[in-house]
Amino acid sequence: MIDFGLLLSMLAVVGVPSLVERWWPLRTGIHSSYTDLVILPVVVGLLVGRLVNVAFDAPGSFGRIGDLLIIRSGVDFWPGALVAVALVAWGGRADGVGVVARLADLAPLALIGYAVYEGCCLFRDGCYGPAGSIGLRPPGVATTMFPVGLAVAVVVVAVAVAVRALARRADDPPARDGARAEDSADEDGAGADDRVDVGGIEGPRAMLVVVAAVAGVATVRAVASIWLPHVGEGLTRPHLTSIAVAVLSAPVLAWLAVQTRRDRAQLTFAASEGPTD
Amino acid sequence: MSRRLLVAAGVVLAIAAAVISLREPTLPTFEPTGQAQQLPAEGEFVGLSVEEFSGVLVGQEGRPVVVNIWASWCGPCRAEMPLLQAAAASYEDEAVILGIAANDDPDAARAFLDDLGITYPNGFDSTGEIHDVLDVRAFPTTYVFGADGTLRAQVNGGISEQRLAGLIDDALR
Repeated sequence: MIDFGLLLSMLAVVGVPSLVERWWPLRTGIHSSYTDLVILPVVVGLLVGRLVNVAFDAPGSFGRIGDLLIIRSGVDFWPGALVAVALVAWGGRADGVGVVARLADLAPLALIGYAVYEGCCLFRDGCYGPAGSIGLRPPGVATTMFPVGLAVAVVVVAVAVAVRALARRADDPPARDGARAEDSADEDGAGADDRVDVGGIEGPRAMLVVVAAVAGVATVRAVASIWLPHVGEGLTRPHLTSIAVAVLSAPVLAWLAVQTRRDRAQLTFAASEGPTD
Repeated sequence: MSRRLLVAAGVVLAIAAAVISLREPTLPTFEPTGQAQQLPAEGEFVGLSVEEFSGVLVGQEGRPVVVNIWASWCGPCRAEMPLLQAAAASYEDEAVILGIAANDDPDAARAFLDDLGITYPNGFDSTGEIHDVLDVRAFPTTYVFGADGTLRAQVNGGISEQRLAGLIDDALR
């Protein structure tokens, strides 16, 4: 039986960010579109997430290809995401693009893709949270329930916009000119403005964008999981994992924010000084 | 041109998928009646006629019953059974999980349960009538009967943890 809800979600996850790419163009994918760069990592990430889920919840299904491919039965989000990110990074390295630069470049569009996936929860299971007067009535349920998945989608879109703004800020003229002023001191001939920019932002600034995206998703998932129905007492494994990722990424994000602010001040100073012979 | 065709095909596919996904199954008109019967005991795997099945449901009035129709040849059935087992342990006396093997060989179904270590009550649709009265169109299919015995929900295909918990919680309210 084909899972049409999942099929629709996957089409939207690839299609919508590809449309958004018209307004948020990639800088590190000159010969590749968002779709080209993410489709294989997403598929592999989905399979790895499913394998991890089976390993924890139904180890008896190992060795049965049919069971392993039933994505609807559960996918562990963070292991899958980790593998997808590693594959994207590896692709960036193969293209001669900075690994973190590629990830930072893709982060806003990837967040839009994730928001779309959550938004498509209406067509799959797993959208509804607590019963209440505000919300929708899912099939087979007598009361209205708050659509947590839709709320997550809206918040993740906001995170995507914020991460995009962060990436643009990291790539704004003072920071970029400062970096180029430093570079041009060592260059002869070609001026900085004539270079084909395939790298986007780099170093701690790029890392800040990547970690901000991860922390944003982890925080949203950790908070949303509070309201999602589940079997049994206590926190579910996906909920615990999201909390762990959010807690781990928060200090890294803070440290990178301080670091980039310091670098930015230094680069602005270097830009105002100009190249030296 | 070919790119436009691809986009158009994607849009048509997405709309078709949306329509199919949002289509709510019409619930069968089955209403449990007859003499109350006990649930199959743990480790027991008996054949049930539709009257006996109906009696088992009548015997559980006062608490919701989740009926899961499965078969040993069905991959998604195998995938969701650990979730049903966890639900049976979690809801304990509040709600009942009842598995019914249908369109299957009884020995294969029995071996399937043993293989997965399933302990919640299970029976075998010995005449094929349970399959018919519940209008089963996909394997697995999960039905939720309320505490008053009325059929409240039907989920065709594998069920997710959130959906299962949401339906049971709703039936318990």
